[in-house]
Amino acid sequence: MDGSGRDARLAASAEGPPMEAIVAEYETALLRYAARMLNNPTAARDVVQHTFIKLVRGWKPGMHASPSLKSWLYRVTHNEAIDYIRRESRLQVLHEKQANDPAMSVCTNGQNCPMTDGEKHDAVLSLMHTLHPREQQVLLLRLEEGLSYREISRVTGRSEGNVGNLLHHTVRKLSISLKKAGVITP
Amino acid sequence: MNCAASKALLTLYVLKDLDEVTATTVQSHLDDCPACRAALQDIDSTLGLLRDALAAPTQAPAQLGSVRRTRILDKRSVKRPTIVSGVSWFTHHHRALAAAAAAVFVVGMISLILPATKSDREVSLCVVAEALEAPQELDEVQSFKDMQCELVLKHALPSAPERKQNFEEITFGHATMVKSPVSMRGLLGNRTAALQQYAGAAAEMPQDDSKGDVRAGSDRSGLSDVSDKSHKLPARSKLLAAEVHARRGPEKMLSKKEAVEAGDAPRWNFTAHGVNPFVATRSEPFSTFGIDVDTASYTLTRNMMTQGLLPPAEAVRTEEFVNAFDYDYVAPSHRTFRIYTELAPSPFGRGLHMLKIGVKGRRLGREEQRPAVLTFLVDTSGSMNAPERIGLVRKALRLLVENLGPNDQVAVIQYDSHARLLLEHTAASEKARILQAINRMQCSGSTNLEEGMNEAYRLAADAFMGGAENRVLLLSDGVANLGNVAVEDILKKIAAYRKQGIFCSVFGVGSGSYDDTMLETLANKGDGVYTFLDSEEEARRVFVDDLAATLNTIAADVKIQVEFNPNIIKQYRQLGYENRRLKKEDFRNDAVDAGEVGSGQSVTALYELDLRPHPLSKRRIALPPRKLATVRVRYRRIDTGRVEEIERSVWPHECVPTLNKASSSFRLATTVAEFAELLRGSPHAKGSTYEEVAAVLRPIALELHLDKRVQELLQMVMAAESTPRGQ
Repeated sequence: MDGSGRDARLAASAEGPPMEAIVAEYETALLRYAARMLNNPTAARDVVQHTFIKLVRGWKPGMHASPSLKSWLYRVTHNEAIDYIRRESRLQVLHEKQANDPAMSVCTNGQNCPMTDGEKHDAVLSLMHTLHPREQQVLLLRLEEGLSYREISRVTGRSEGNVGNLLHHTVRKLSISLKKAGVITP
Repeated sequence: MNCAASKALLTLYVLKDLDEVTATTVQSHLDDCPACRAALQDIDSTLGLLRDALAAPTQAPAQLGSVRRTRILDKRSVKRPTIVSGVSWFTHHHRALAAAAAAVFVVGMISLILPATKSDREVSLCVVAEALEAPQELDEVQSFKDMQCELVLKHALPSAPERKQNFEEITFGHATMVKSPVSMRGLLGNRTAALQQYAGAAAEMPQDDSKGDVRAGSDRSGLSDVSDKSHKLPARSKLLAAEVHARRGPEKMLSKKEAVEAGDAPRWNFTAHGVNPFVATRSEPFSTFGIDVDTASYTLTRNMMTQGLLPPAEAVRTEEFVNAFDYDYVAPSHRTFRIYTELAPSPFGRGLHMLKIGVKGRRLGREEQRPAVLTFLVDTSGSMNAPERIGLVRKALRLLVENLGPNDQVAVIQYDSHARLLLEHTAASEKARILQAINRMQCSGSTNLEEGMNEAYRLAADAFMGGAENRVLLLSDGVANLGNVAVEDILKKIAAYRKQGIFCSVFGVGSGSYDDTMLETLANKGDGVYTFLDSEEEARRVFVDDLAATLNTIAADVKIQVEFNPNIIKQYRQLGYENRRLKKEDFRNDAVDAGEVGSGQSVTALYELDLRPHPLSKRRIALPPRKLATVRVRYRRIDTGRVEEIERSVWPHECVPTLNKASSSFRLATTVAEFAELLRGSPHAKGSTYEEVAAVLRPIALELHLDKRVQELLQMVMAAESTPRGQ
């Protein structure tokens, strides 16, 4: 795993907790992940900030950045994001919003509504947001963040086989709703 | 392998995540099974789309930003987790806080009822910790279980009241970013003290209970249309009395104590730039200037005239008067700019001709409008504490927030004695949070513009987004307790950030104590627009109607050069643009800074021309036809970054023979310019009177009866004769 070498370097590079280095290393990826989950860049910043604060608070002298740090960060970010959604009770709002998305409703009944690439991308992303958070989680971790199945299994607490299964079912679910929305032709 | 088994592996197959043996088996099944091949096709296209969609640029920020980073790293040294500096933290956590308080209560009850051992207590607290932190599968609580228990013990029990206190601090807007004071007194000495006292006294004015209706009057007169001002005379004169009192009162007070300093304290600060003289075409056929789309001078004058005073001569900038009006240029559809010219006899006699040059920018389509990253820097010093100042600022900001797109971001910083961050960059879709921050602004203290500017630029640099409109917007009455050294520093800083793509726009409010020079210089250095807000209507015009122009710059460093033909034109004079003049060779020197133009904005320049004998009125000019003038515009496009130059020639035959045949917009422009020239006591306007201007303007006002501004102008011109001049 390429992460371990880097993490070890991080540990060696700084005296005490290499927190600056850890933040610099992971903030972009975590922000990207949180922004995808929440569809809101500002909230993503809050979520990632809380994740790092948790890390700082849990950090004890003598600890070092192990390979599982990355998984831990993704896990906490995910849970923080879910917390955020629940707290703001936006899940419902989000789904309603996407259900009423005009771009989507127009194209469900029309056969010949050519979509530009940008529209297709928007449609895919908004459909992705209607998936269950745990489905979004595996999808994003595998496709966008490029984590290995072992890493995803560590983040989610599922077995590797289970992750593969969940991923497949998520993709199938998505492809069915894409067909329904007329984004891809059967 | 059967279909069901194979189908379950298709996603992993497409992702090439299967081991070789399984992949081969799936491959061989696919070769035989068309149904599975169809399923593969679906999954393949879905994954392809997903990948493309995820690869498309997103709004996700790349960095947390230094404010948040500091907060995280600060947590390291804090032994007990106190919750500091985070308005957003509080808004996100108030439910969690309530839960924590409830948990504390429950735990307290448990420990009272059950004679629990220490370990029992710890366990129960851990349960509380999990209940608080993990409404769902929160595994990380386990991995840090010991730590969490410890945390809850230290954290929930003693810090609840602390948090409450913190909350109170936050509501009064004092919780964030209080920095060590920069001593301005050293820079300015006694003058600061005088100004502060003055500001403080002015701030107290509206709170005087007997002034209740005066306040109402001032609010109204700020909003009222000039056309019906006669009905509001009593309110206005009261207001005037209040203004005079507000100004004179503290002065008297000071004169007893510190006579010298009081005389020194300026009420207005304007800089005179002189009036452009006539230039002999043979000696200098080129006239070069940087464009200026500001309109502040006109609005400021209007504001003063509603209060019954003419503005000081040096407050009048002719070009800003001219540019405050709409001359109905058609926006080009493809090119960035289009040049319009019109030539006709000047309406104010003197046997001169007037050349009107209009440059109109392209109007960006909706899809071309870039997201805006706006950092508002609001002056909340004591001098701002009046409904027509901070009240108007709040109104203006609310209007703006209502009209921003979902991709835009807004941050709010207030500054008085210190700068305070009220709101970090927040998506404009979260209106409630932004409005909350706007409502939280409180006025008091002095004006530490330097710290405010530093904070604003630091925040803007943090949130910098490539390809977006990054802009700092300063809203102030311009009374800054600054020394020359500090001003130099700020200007340097603004110029440096401008080169990196952060612009600065300035919005002035209030009158009575107002530093025009400073605000204009700031906007010039920051390549921004300088606008004076005197009423909600003006705010609406700037932040709603012209929002696209305010936020979407299409070209920067826009310069205009006019080359006159010395054989036809004896001498010429440019009206206004005195402080925008450039050297002839600077026109093609792209390092020289000039103004910027927003989407759909236009600029108008006027030249008075003295033609040689054999004038145009004789028609049929002998061959070959000679160019009268050439207008060139050079600019740097914001979208491509390329420098372009366009030109247009003016031919003698384009000259309109009589003024009446000239377009109404031409006559309007000349009238506005003449009015401005009269107001600023230009030597070239000698012999002309406001009555003459009004006479020319009246038919135009009838023709353009839909344009409220023209009606307003007519009222102003007619009132100007009998209005005393302000200091």
